[in-house]
Amino acid sequence: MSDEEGILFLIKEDDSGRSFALLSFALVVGLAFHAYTFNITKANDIANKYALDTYSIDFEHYDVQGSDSILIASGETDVLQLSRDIMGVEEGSLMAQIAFDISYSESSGQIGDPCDEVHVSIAPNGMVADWQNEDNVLSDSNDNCDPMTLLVYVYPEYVGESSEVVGSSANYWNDLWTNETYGSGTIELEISVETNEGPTSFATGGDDNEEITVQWTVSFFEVEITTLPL
Amino acid sequence: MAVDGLLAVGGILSLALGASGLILTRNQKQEVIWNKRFAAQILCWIFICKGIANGVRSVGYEGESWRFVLYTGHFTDQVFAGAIMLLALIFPVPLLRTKKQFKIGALLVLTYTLISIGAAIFISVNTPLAGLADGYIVCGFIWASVYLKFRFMSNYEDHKEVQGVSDVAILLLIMVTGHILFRWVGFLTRSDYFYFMDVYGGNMTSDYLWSMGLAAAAIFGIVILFGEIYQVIQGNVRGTSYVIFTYMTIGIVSHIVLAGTGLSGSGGGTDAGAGYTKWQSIWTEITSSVHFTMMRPIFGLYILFHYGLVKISEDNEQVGKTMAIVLIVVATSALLEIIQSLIPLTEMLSAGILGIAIAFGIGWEERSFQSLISNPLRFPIRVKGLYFPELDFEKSAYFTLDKGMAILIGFVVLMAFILELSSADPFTMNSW
Repeated sequence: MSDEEGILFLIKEDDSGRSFALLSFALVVGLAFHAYTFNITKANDIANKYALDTYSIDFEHYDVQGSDSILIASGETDVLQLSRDIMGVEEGSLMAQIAFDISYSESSGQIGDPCDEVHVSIAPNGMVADWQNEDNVLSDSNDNCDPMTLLVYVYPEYVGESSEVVGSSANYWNDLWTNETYGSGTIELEISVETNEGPTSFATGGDDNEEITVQWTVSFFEVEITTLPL
Repeated sequence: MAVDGLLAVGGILSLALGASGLILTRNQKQEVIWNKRFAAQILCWIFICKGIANGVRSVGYEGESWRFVLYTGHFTDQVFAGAIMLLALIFPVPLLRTKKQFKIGALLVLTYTLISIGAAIFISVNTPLAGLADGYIVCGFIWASVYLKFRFMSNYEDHKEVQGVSDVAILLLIMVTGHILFRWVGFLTRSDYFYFMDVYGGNMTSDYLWSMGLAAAAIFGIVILFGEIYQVIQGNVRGTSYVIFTYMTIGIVSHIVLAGTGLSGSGGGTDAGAGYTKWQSIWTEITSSVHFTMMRPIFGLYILFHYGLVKISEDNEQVGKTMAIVLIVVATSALLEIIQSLIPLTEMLSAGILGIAIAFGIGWEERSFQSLISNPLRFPIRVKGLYFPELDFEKSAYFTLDKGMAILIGFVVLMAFILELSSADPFTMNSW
């Protein structure tokens, strides 16, 4: 290979390799600066840039309670309605669950008059709620004057315990836990009564209605999303 | 206009330039020196690669075929990087100075490219091995060296042909790394917008190698900037001086705009990052994205014609004109789309402006096209012939290059399709 065919010829020709040396020097100094910056000064920032953030999700609970007494004639069905408006809570309140405690006693005053048969149920519509939740108790009935409890889980996945989640963004988690559509609308509790006649009812007059007491407890929550330090 | 739209336009521009450029090189009747002829072909294939990469990426990664988008973009970028490296080895000054050296050099680059493609397939797309073909350092070093040698050549400060070599070296460097030069200040000020630019995450070595390539591009830009400042002081201003000054000045303004921002999106910093304000996103779009998608083909067109890589005669003039018109019309319409996104113009108004622009554009095209092809700049073979060895290649050698590139690109697109069908995981082969 002649001198003119080699790369050294190109480097040395005309300027004795000064431009090559100058550029090499600039490149080495520049890349040393870059290496120091990338691997030392900003190493943690760069490593953490794509690390998934961890968020703490904390809940604060509060309950709103109320009660109603309804006199229901035998063979009749009455409906108790409940909504944010009826409860008098703010429109955007985050609703976790609704519990109805239904109680009654034999109120005819007749000796030996047995408890009436009471059937309670909640229609799975009217309010946006977690109707598919297997822990919902949507109907019950008895004829022994024992109290009954119906339960509807409104906000899906809500268990009320603080948790830590990894990934996505604070906005994502905030949106997930502040969906105000859950709990919107009106829930309806249907109560039916079938009176049971006592042995002396023919003498004292018939047992033709029952007073049902419904105590409702609606759980609300507030959520706080905090980004935990890496 | 979303950056995806820009990518699509850029893809069309690049494909149009690449395909019509190849037709021109095939049909030209006049003799062209071997390294220019090969350079023309490689330049065209580079734009075809970029056209495919930008085209598929414009679809986005949200669709079902995101693997095909990712792999096709990645593979064609690797072919692009290999081709750029081969280009730097022969143009403007051939470092491969004999036919034997040329063959060995081309084979080494091909091997290098295939290894990096294989690593992307069988290891992961973010393995350091898959990023080996990153050509910013190699190409930048070669072109910056050529610039320094020819720009500062004693007794040739006013020699048009000698200075022309330094000009084309600057233009090639800006064409490839211009979007990085828009962020050169961030390299020195250790800003997040530079050091977080397109790092994959998860593999620090890969990220470091990638970022090192960007840093090298910024270093070469700074070297050329100081070189041109010195030449201006000496009274030797050239057209390319203004080009580098413009790019580096935009880099200073970019630092003012982007300081305080962090993560950047994909595409060599052409996309706005997370947390960018609307103004910062717009700035990124009208600077980096425009260079990446539209200025590159324009630079390519200028280099092809002005430096005589493609010689236009009566036989191929029509193809050349069509090529220039397509580039101008598509680039103009894309620019209008960007303006429309910044200023709320109605579609009717923008269509009218486009019509006027095309009317003026065609007139301008006629004049500038003639001046571009009528007097292509010659290289200083008479005064500095030792730099430009005369090699005699058979026509079949040029055809072999075309065939090889076509097969390689077809192969990588097919591989991307197979990987898509196989539901491959681009970030680890263990799970497919």
